[in-house]
Amino acid sequence: MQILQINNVVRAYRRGVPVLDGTSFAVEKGEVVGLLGRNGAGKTTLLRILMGMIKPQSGAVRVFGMDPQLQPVEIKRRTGFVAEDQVYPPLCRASELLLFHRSLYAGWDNAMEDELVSRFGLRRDARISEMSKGEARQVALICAVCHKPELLILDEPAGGLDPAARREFLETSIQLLNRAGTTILFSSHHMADVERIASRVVLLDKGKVCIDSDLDQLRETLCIAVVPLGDTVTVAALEAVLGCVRARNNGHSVHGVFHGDPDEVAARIAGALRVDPPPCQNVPLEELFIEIVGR
Amino acid sequence: MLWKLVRIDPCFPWVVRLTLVSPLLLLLSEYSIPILAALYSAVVALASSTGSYQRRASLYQTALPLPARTIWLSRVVVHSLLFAVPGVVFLPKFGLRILAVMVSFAVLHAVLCTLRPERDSAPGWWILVSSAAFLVAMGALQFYQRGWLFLAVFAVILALYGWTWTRLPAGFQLASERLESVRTMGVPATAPAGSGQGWLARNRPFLKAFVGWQPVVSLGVIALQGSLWSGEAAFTILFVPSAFSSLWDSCLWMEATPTPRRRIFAWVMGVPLALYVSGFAMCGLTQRTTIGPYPVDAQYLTINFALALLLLVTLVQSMNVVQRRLQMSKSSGYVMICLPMAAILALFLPLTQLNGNGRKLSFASKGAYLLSRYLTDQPLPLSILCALCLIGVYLYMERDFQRADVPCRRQMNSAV
Repeated sequence: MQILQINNVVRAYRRGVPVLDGTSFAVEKGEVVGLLGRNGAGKTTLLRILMGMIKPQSGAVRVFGMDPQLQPVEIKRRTGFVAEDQVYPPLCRASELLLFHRSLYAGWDNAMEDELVSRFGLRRDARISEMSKGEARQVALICAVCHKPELLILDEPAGGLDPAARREFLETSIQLLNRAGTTILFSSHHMADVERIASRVVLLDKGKVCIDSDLDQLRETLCIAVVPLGDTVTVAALEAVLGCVRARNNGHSVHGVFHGDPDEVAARIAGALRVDPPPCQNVPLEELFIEIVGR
Repeated sequence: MLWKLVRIDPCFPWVVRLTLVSPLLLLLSEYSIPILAALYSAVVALASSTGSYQRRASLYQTALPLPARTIWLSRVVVHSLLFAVPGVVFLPKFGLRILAVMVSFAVLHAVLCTLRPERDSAPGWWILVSSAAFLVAMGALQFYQRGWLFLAVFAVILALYGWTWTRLPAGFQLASERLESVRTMGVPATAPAGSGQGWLARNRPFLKAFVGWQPVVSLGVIALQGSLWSGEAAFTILFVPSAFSSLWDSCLWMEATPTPRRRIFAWVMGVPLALYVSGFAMCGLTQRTTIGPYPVDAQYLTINFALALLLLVTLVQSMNVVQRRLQMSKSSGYVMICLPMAAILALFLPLTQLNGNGRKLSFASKGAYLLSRYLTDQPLPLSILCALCLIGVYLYMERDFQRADVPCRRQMNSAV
């Protein structure tokens, strides 16, 4: 069952500069999808479109089969949302916020709330303004998950947190996910977090989905070839080789991202460009990200 | 649900503060209308900076599973309370005059509520038009307190609210559908690297740090309030610093650049001062010829309020520097800012028995009167001495600022 359907979505803030330019993908129930992309790639815009906070200029979006522009309240009842710049009323106490959220959601789980509050060591009588950034984010997480949402949308949820707080935040998210079978869509710049949590990654570049793949499959099927520059070796020539996802000039060499087994890719390049087989290898997600979206 | 939303609204604490402060103000002065108007100005400015006053909803509120109209209604209630609570306290004593002030601010709110200002989507011209509408309404209501005018303004407010209500989407939008054209910039003027040539190039970041609609509104409010009652203008001291409270933070990134700290200090100190002088120059051109019961001329007020406020702003800004220099907490900083103000008022305390035209004057009237008379009635040497003292304070603070190892507490926190 598809929880999210995003079809050919276009959204711009300025004429002729689309942030999202025909973005399309879908998310199945129970999936954990990491949304990646450079700054300005359209991640936040897309997540806000899903929440009904921004209207797409063309294309169709369906969340739980509903249009976020027409039924935003129904969608928000079934969704948890945490954003990096989602500032809670600073003078509100944690207890007041939790009480308020409890009154908004019919399925609020008091036991989960208690468990999380004690796990995070939060003081219920503390005001948001008195809390550290990490504590405020933990309150946000509690507010987002205790109604057992079917979909959890996290927009840079751990941005600005120290590694320990980030790990704690994300591990809690995973545990809650495993317990409740929630679908999670989150954006992040921390590749280690994405590798730890996500089962699938969607990479946005220039407003389009550049890569949409299962994470394990991505690691196994993509490799990077480093080909020294030469008469026959140019970016265009490398991109013309079968299976090339993207190539870029890196000074003395051309780096290319290819689909396929490293040895097979090396042989393919050697045959096409008439050069010695270049070094090819599978690399971590962060390297792949840089090679694919780097300038 | 509406009450719960009101309680969590970022502007709600200001309603509470106003409720507590209003009765005190009523006791303080028999000329409380201008104080109250200034208080409204300050609250609007402060609530704007701390409570997203100008937005129909924050990101947090838009994410709640509630219809946009419910959230919008709660914001309207909060902002209406912001104007109504102190107004109701003053209503029995001042009647139509206070109603005029309340309605003026209600116009401002109604106009703001019709905007779509979430995430910078409000067009600049609309902000200017709405500011102008507010000022016109305020002026008209103050000068012509007629029943039909009140009714007309109420009708406009209701029409604006009704229009907004019908236009609200199911969920709040954080960005407008309207697309702005991309401006094509010309080739920027260049200067040799490291030369630091060109006054405009060097100072453009400073200019951009404070250029906006707030200075326009500030000047307008100062001039208009000054035209209503000269003493009132003195209380706009609350308004302008609040509009410029972010000036320090917006300039502090330059600490990490090879920009002389003297220049940073001069800009941060100079902008509010220049604004005050400009505002009170305008005030002097438009104000009436009395200060409370005292007849005065325009020139007198222009010069004296400008000077008196220069003194106050210098002190306030100086305390700001001290607070940052000493790495104090914000609350301690506020105390230190309030101390010189209290000291100035304390200077007038022994004179509170002063009578004007055989009539006992209120404390605030005497304060405003004496503050202005003080600077003109002094002999020239004393005025020069005062000016030298001001310069001395400035130079001391500048030196102190230049010596500071850590420019501000925020930077220190982030480093930690």
